[in-house]
Order: sequence, then structure tokens, then C-alpha cells
Amino acid sequence: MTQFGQVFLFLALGCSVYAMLATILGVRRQHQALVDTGHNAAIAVMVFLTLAAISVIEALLTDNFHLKYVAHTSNRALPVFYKITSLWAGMEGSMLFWAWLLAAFSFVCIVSYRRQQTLLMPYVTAVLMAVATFFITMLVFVTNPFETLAQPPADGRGLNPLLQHWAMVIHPPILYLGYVGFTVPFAFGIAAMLTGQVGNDWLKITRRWTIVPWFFLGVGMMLGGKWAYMELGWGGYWAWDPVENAAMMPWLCGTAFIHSVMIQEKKNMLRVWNMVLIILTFTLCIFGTFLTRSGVISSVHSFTQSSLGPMFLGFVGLIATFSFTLLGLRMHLLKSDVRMDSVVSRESAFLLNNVAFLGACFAVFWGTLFPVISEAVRGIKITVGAPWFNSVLVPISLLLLLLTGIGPLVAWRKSSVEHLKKMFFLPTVGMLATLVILLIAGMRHLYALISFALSVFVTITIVTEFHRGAVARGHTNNESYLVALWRLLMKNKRRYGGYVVHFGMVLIFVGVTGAAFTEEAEKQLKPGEALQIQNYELVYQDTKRFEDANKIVIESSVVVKRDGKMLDTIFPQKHFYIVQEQPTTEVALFSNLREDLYVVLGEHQAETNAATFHVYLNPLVTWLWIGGMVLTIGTLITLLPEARDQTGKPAPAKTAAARQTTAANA
Amino acid sequence: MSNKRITIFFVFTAVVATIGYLILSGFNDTTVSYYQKVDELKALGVSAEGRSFRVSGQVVIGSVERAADGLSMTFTIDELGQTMPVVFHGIIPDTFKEGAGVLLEGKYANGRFEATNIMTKCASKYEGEGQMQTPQTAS
Repeated sequence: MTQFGQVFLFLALGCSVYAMLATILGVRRQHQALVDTGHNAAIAVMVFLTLAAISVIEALLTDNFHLKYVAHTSNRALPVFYKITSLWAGMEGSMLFWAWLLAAFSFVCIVSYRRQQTLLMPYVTAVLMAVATFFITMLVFVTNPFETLAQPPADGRGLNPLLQHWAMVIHPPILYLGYVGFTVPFAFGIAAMLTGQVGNDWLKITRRWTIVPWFFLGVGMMLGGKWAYMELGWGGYWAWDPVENAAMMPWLCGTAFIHSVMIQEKKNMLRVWNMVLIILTFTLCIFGTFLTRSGVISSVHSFTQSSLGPMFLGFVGLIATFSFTLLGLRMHLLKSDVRMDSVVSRESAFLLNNVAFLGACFAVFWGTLFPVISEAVRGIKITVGAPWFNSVLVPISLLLLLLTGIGPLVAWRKSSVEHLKKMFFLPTVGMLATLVILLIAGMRHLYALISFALSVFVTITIVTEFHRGAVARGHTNNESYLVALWRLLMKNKRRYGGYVVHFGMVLIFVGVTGAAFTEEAEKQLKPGEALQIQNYELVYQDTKRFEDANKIVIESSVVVKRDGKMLDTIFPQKHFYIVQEQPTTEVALFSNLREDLYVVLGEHQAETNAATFHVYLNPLVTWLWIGGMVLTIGTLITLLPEARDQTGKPAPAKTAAARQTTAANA
Repeated sequence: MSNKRITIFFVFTAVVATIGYLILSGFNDTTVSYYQKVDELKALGVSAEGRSFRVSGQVVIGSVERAADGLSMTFTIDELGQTMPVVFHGIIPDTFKEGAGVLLEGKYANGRFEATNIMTKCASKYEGEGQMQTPQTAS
């Protein structure tokens, strides 16, 4: 099938161009049959790209080294699993994967809405296919996965050993689901402006289409962090590397969008602003792909740099120019005359949240691009290190954490002083108590103190919200507390699921704050000797050497003791990949809820059997991963279809206490 | 504008200004490092003290001396004929070897470069001229 791969790509290109033109022309001339052929052509794009992807996978599985892509990313000894996932391990394959995902999203979108949204859908399809056309054009002319080699090698170069890790296998597709997914809400936003239907319909349709990519972008970053933590061996999970930032920017902007959309739905405010946010988010997604693919900025990920850079930059410019021009032309339709009533209101908390998210997004953008700007403008080559990002982003994040607590407590329009006193009393007490306890315990790290105290503050507000709601519900419906709690969650999934997401974020903050207290030690040990770090003792036993088809493994055994008590034996390893002639580090972890003992094997001297170890004691890291799981659960809850009470109406809140807060229905 | 709108305006201006201030004040000698050529770095002399730099070159073959404890080494880098001694403490990156191109991060003092981070430019077998980074948490 591989020989047809090229043909499939051309057919996909033809279909996507046709779909784009047919939908637009059809709707302009009110020719429904033409629009229908456009939608069908868009579906055909997915079929052809699927066939193209299968062709690449077939070539990978059959070790068809005639294809340059296969020769570069795979080899005979590579396990079948990694052969398949090599589809997104290299430049050409991941571009194909990107395009295929977009086609798949378009397919689902078209099938779901072509009959219902006859006004918007032709434009939505046109926008989706315009983006698809760009990617498929790149595939055909610039990064063609079906490029052949005149002299096929006997064996391929193999998959980059650093990428041979489970988290790295699922990290790119998940991240791409995020990058690609934002095309759909963007397409709806543009369609809304093109048709002049700029009310709240497009937001209602795209709510799930926004949460899903937002979620995947976040989980993708978490998995990337997990991979970096386990595979790169420098003791951390986030380095403010340009490609990490590339995913962070649309995530921050998308988070702002998810929040401000609620104000538009509730109060019909911020219509222009929301349009700006979704345009920016999508532009940043493409920009992020550009950063990853262009190699403009050197990074861990730069093994996929290429000549694509200028094309992508041009495309980013085109999207931004087109979208913002359109926005300018439609400004009069989007303007709303609702005004903010009070400084202390839910609206202004949301707005502040937006400003902070966008500020954070801009800071990441500036820090990432500053080296490029500096070199272009001043001719001075510099790098902006992680300390810069931390010094800017940590305070902004803490402000956001504070808002996570405050937002749900203040009412829409205006909060009375009485109301505020009542709502803030308990969380504030909890926060101050935490501060005092930590200060007595000897903690002096300012940001860590603030972070832990705010985490308690937010946690109490979330628990109180659930508690209040459950009591009110139990009271009116005569339900037991637990039943009321469950039904509360299930009948207001969007709001209470959102709180669960917030709680996941709190746990992530706790985990990240632990990094302020990391300790490290480094020592060369002979068998039987020990290394001390805090109250842990690591006793080096022995080092073994063995090999399989792909690699040579050097493995040390180390006994972990805490306060003199033996707890475990761990095995840090060094792998040496034979085909690639490249060593990698396999970290050994002794992990619990309190801290991670993170052990890296350095050099091993065969003559003396002495080995060097680098050990990190990373407090609270496990909470980061737990937070990710809680966030996942919360997101899934918000995505479930909204249930209705037996009366057929959405669950009403009946008591005064509940009414004040349920009006939020975040 | 009503009083309320003025207050709102001020609150938001304050937040934006704070973020702007954070962004600008963050740029200093500890958070930003400058790329320098080996000869430029040598010419800086004493004025280079306390600042962070990045410098690149090739590890001179035969120059690497590893300490017996396996935790530090000295070597010389060569950039277009200009050489400079380097000292490094820490776990030596997997891909470090003589003759390889390296990108160093660290400080320049007493005629030596004290590297806190070594990134090796492996003669990549992958696409493009890959640069495998081994970030350190050197603070």
C-alpha cells in the first residue's frame, strides 16, 4: 500500500481545497447541494489521510527502508509497539499525524452539526479545511513522509532512544489532540463572525470542543513532565524549555477563554474579548507547532528542526491578520452595552483571572522569544533561563491561586459586606492557621509559605461550597447528606466538576511548591559505602551489566535506608543504545507521598566497581501527578451531559444560601 | 466614568503594571546568560565576574582529565582556533566525549570557564543537527 501513499496525499489535498471552496461558494449562492458536496469532500479528506497514515505504519512494520522516514526513525530490532508509534516520532510522520487528527476532528464536527447548524457549518468546514489544506500542502511539498531513498540502507537508524518510554509514546498524540482540537472552536468563532451570528450559540456548541483540547494540552504537558523527570535525569520535570513553553502559552490563553466564556453566557458581556481569546489561543497553537518544528530556538526537542519554519511563521501571520481584520469589521455587532456593576463581584474576579492568565501567557511568550528579539535588534545573543521564568510566573500563579479561592465566594453583580464576611471567615482562618504552623515549624521560604497557605484557603472554599450545596439540597429534597452531595455533583456537573478541577490545580501547586525544598548530593561510592541525604542513607551494593538486541544495560543496586531502617532496594540504570551509539539515563525512584528519592547513576568504573551517584530529594512531587489525576476526573465530570431533575428542568437551587452561589453555575 | 468604573480601571492597571514590572525586573545577570565567543570572553577579563555566559566550542582531543572521584573534570575547548580551559563539577553528560561540540553554561573567572551545565551537540544521527540537552538544576 505504501506505493500509493503519495497518491492518497494528493487526493486528500484535492478534496480539502474542494471542500473549502464548495462550502463557501455553496452558502454564498444558497446552493445547498454544493455545500453538501463540500462537507462530503471534507469527510473524504479524513479517509485519504487515514489511508496515508496506514501506509506509513505498514512501511514501518515491514521495515521498508526505501522510505527515508522509515530509515530514519525505525530499525529492524525495534519492538513492534515502537514501530507503530514511530508514526509520530519524526517530523514528516508527526505532520501527517497532525493533519489526520484535524481531519478526524472535522469529520466528527461535520457529522454532528451539518444538519442542525446549516447556517454556521459551511463556514466552519471551510475554516477547518483551510487549515487542513495548509498542513497537507506541507506534507506533499515540504515534509513528505513518502520521500524515497535511492539507496535503501540495510537497516534503519532506529528510534531516538530518549523517546523509547511509555510517557513519550503517548505524550505527542495527546499534546496534538490539544493543539489540533482548538481549531474547532476557532472555526466556529470565525464562522460566527462571517455569518454575523455572533450571539452565544457558537459558545454553547463549542463548550465541550474547548474543554477537550484544553484538557489534552494540560495532560500532554504533565506527561511531558513525567517523561523528562524519568528520562532526562536532571531531577526536575519542567525546565521552561521553548517547546514546553510552546504548549504552555495556548493552555494559559485557553484557560482564560474557558473562564471568560462563562461571563458571556451569564451576563452577555465580553463578546469581543472572547473572540480575541479564541483567535489568540488557536494562533498560539499553530505558533507552538512552529516553535516545535522550526528549530528557531534551540531546545531539548530540536531533533525535529527543519525548513518548515518560514512557512509556519507565514501561516501564523496569515491567521492572525485574517482573524483580527474580520474582528475589526464585525466589531459593531459584537459590542455589548452591559457594564460591570461593582469591583467586588464575580465578574470582576473573572476579569482579573483573565488579565492574570493573559499576563502569564505574555510573560512566557516574551521570555521564550526574547533571545530571538535580542539577537535581531541588538545583535546580542542571550538565553533567558529558568530563574527568569520562575521570578515572573511564580507571583502570577499565586495570584491565580488566590483568585481560584475568591472567585466562587463572591456573588455576581455585587457582594454585600455581610455575605463576604460569612463566606471568607473559615477559609481565612484556615489560611492564617497554616501560616502560623508553618512559621513555627521553621519554614522561611516566602513563596512557599504563600503557596501552602493559599492552597489551604482554596481547599476550604471548595469543601465549603460542596458542603453548603449538599446541606441545602438535603434540606429541600429530604435527602441524606451523602446522597445530596452526589446528586449535587451530578446535577451541576459543570460547576462542581469545575471545583474538582480547581482542587486538582491546588494539588499541583502543592507538588510544584515542593521544588523549593529540593536537596541534592553527589558522591562516588565503592561497594558497601553509603551516601547520606537528610535522614536517608543510600548504600551501594554492586553493579551488573547485561544486554538485549537494542541496548547494553548497566545497573547498580542501591539499598535505601531511612533513620537506619532498611526500606527498599532500587536499581538506577544506564542504557547504551547500540545502533544509535547513544547512552541514556534510567532514574531509580523511591517515592512516597512525602518525597521522592531520585537516584541517577553517573559513571561506573569497571576496574574498581566504584560508581558515581547523583541523588535528589524532591519533596511532594507525587502530589503533582495526583493533582493531574484529580484534574482529569474533574474535567470528565464537566464533560458528562447535564442531567435534569424529574420535572424536566435543570436542578434548581432553593435555599437562600444556595441561590447566592448557584447563580454562579460556573 | 462613574467611581466604580474608575476603581475597576485602577485595579486592572495595577495588575497589568505589576506583571510588566515583574517581566522587566526579572532580567538581570543571574537570570539571563550571554553567548560569547571564546576570544570575547577572554577580553572581558575581570568585568566578566558574577555574570552568566554561554560559550561553545569543540572539546580538544586529549585534553579531558577526569578526577578520580568521577565528579569533576577539566578540559579545553577550541572555537575557531581560540582555546580556553574549562572546569566542570557534576555528573558528566552521557553524550560528552573528546572531539564533540559542546555548549557550556557557567561563569568565567581567573582565565577559566567554570561550567555548571554542559550540553553536547551530538553528531546527530537524527534529523537536523540535533542538540541533546542535559539540563542541570545548578542554581
